[in-house]
This record gives sequence, structure tokens and C-alpha cells, in this order.
Amino acid sequence: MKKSKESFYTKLVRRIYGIQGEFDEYKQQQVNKIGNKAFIFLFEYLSTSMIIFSIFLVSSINKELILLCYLLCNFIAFFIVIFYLAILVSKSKLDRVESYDNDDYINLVKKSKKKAILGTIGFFLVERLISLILELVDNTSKSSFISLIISPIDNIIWLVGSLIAGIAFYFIMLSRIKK
Amino acid sequence: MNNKVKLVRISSGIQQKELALKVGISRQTLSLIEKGQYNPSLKLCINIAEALNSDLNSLFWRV
Repeated sequence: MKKSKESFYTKLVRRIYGIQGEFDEYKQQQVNKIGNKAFIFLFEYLSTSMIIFSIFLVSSINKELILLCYLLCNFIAFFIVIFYLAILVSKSKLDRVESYDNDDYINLVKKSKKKAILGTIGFFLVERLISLILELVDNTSKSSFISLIISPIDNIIWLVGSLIAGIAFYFIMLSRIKK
Repeated sequence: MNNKVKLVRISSGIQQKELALKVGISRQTLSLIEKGQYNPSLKLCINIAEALNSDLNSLFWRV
């Protein structure tokens, strides 16, 4: 059977849900089910929280605290959805990679290593950038931009953190490969 | 839905991974179809029947 080129939407869905291998009709059906449940939760949460926090915001004097609570609640809801998606995707085995023979297995392991290395570099750069922006915004020590970039302690801390994340990512990917 | 996909596949000497690759689905999906735990679309049924050189009646009709 000829493989058709994946659309941007399919690529996006695969990336968000972490789907590996063939994205066939069974996987599409499972993704739709999981996505609908997540959407219903988010819809209910957003409509309820909007009304509740609007009432609080109008009636309260400390508006800053209310907005902070709203932001925190949004963060929690976001992580609940991420956690829920990860559990359901893993339970439906949508994240499994199938290897057809030994050569295929070796190839998949190599791909995982490459992805882990790229992931480590990406994680380091993104985290470093975020910490740099936060430090620049809240610059109490009045350090210069260059000294913040080349700060050895920060770089070492984030490098070690990225390496740990990269190794964990590699082992997670290895565990998903099914012989 | 019960079917004869596994029976016909084994009698044709085709491995599960081979058929999955030929039809363009994952081995997991084919396994679910064979066990009757997933009802494939008509399009997929036709693809499976073609890959096994069989027909829809012999594979899926009232097993």
C-alpha cells in the first residue's frame, strides 16, 4: 500500500499526543475519543472558572491576588490535561513503536539516540532562554546581559538538568520500542 | 465482530507484521481486528481482503 504524505494537521496531532508508528484509523479513533474527553473537561473548566473569577474580580479589592489565583488554576488545569492525555495514550498503547526485525530495532534505537541528543540541546536552550528572560525582568543584582549569559553556575546547573532530562527521554523512548 | 482474518492469514502463510505493513496499519490494530475487539471501516476491510487475496464474504460475513 502506497504511503500518502502526512498533512500538517496529522503531524501536529502526532506531536501533541506523542503517537508513534502508523497513524491508522484505530489510532485516529482513539485520539478523537481522548481529545473529546479533554475538550469537555477544558470547556467545563473554562466556562466555570471564567464566571467564578469574574464575580470575585468585580467584588474583591485585591484584584492582583484574584488574577494570580486564576493563573495558578489555569496552570493546574493545563497539567491535569497533559497528565490525562499521557495516561490515556500510554494505556491505549498509541505511543508504542513496532520494530519488524533486528535491523529495524537497531535503526529505531539509533533514531531514539538522535532524538534524545536533539531533545537535550533543545531543552537546554529553551530553559536557558526562559531563565535568562526571568533574570533580566527581575534583575535585582543589576548584572549585565553578557554576564547573565555566560554565568558558569547557571550554565552548569541547566546543562546537568538537560542531560538528566535527555537520558530520561532516551530511556522512555527505548521502553516504547516493541520487538 | 468475529472474523476469519487470522485463519485466512495463517493459511496463506503471512505473518501479522507483514500483513500490517502491506495494508498500512499497525500490528496492534491488526491484532485487535483479528481478536474482534475493533471493527474496521469498510475501506480497511477491502484492503485486508485484497492483501489476503480473499473477499469480504469469506473474511467477515457471519463467522
